[in-house]
Amino acid sequence: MQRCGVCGQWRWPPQLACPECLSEAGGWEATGGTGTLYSYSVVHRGVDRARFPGRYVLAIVELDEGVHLLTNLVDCAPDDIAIGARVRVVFQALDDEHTVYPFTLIET
Amino acid sequence: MALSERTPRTPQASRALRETAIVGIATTEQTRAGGRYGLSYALEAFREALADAGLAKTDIQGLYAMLDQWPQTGPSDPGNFRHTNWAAQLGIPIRWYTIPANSGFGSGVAAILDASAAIGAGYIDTVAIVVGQSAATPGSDRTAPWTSAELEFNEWTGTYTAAQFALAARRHMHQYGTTVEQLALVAATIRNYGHLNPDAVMHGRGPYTVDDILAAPMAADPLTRLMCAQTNNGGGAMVLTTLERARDLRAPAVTVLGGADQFSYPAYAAPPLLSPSAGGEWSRQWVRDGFAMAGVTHDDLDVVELYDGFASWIVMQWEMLGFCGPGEGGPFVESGVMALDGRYPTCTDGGCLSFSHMGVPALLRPIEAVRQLRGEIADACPDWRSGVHTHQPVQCRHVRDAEVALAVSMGPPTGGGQFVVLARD
Repeated sequence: MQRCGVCGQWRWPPQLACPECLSEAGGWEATGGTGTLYSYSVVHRGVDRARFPGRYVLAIVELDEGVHLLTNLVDCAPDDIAIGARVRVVFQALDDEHTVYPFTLIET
Repeated sequence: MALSERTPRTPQASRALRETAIVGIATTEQTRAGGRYGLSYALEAFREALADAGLAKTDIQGLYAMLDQWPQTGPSDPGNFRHTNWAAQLGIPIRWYTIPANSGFGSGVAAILDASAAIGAGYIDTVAIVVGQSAATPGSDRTAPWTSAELEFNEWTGTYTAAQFALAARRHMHQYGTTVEQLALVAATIRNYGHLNPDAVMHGRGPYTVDDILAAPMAADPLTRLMCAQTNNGGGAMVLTTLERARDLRAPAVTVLGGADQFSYPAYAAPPLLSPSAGGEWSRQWVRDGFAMAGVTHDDLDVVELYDGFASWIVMQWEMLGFCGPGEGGPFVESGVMALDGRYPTCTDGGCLSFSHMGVPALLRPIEAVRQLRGEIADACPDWRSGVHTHQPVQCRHVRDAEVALAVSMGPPTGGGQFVVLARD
């Protein structure tokens, strides 16, 4: 995630400068990769059936660092999903150049 | 040059702020069929709005246009030469031109505010707003073609408009106890207006019950397909001028009392959190300012044309616009306010859900507000063509003696948009 080099504010989606202090300083830092489920939707009808033929879970995760990001929940049954659940990132390589960052439920 | 040596200002160029009014409106056929260009719909609506106003094209000095094709190539098109292309097509010089850059796809209400500012300040006297859309291809494998899937960082997730609104809806249900039955009541109420509107794409498809809405196939949980706007093609147009001139024209003048415009986050790129849209103090000042400018309170409103892209969005708009407190939108709609016999008849043409969502439907909300204020409503009452209405909700959608209306455009689920208050002169 991007983090301001002056005030330390995390930010997402990426911006050129910090929306808090307007500084352009800073860069990308690793987060802990865990967070809490803010909201989710089991999508029955994908935006494009050719690319998203089946059901999938769209989600908003609030990282422990405080930023929210749009992602997918994978490897979990829809019935087990609840807002407030603890989640962790599972990186998935799409190809040699691109890796995406879905999340999954942390077993309790 | 000394001030006294300058050419005296003409009355038109006076610096005194002038009141403005809507004097012409038109909608074309709203249809699931294809085969026409967006410009074709827009030109037809432009001609009809001029006829409605009793004006000629040469009366038009300013233009606010939103099409999906030439002379515009898309909402993100920087707009090079659009204005001269329009001047060439319409055969008139254009002295004031703007595009929905300040309002995303929501060209309708923002256009009225912008046009009123330009007319009110004396730059021009008369503006046409035109919209046309021909991109809908019902039955294709893609959902609404104007839906933005191509967003960096988000595209891989399979996000799209309905799914983002579903995220906001699910959070609202969790945080405030909003129920799917409340969402379904919103959809049923609006779709039942559309059922009665002979011009609606979904005319005659109802009536709908809450159970009908809930039984529809799921789009993105918790939103069933009947809680989501359909997609279609069509056009619309509106003509505005000074209130002084409006009083000499054919149709009853509808005054633009005031309004406000605010955006907070990039549409669909930022996750749709409730905090900016439902209840934060930051999101409320613009609403208070717009009502203060209009000189009205919520209690003065007779008709409310909200932006019903999704049923859940209506629940949140009641909160955002200050009709109820944060989180109270569910019980508010459950009390029946949106029906013809309720306190605030809402989306009385069937809205985006049933009348038309042709990609740029924001102008259709204030057009319906004007029709209600003029009393020009087509419905299922036996003598509606003579202007006689029964005011029975099963057949009527005419709001009795409507004097003040609110029309809203609300784009992204992250919050923000525009509203305008209109009144019968």
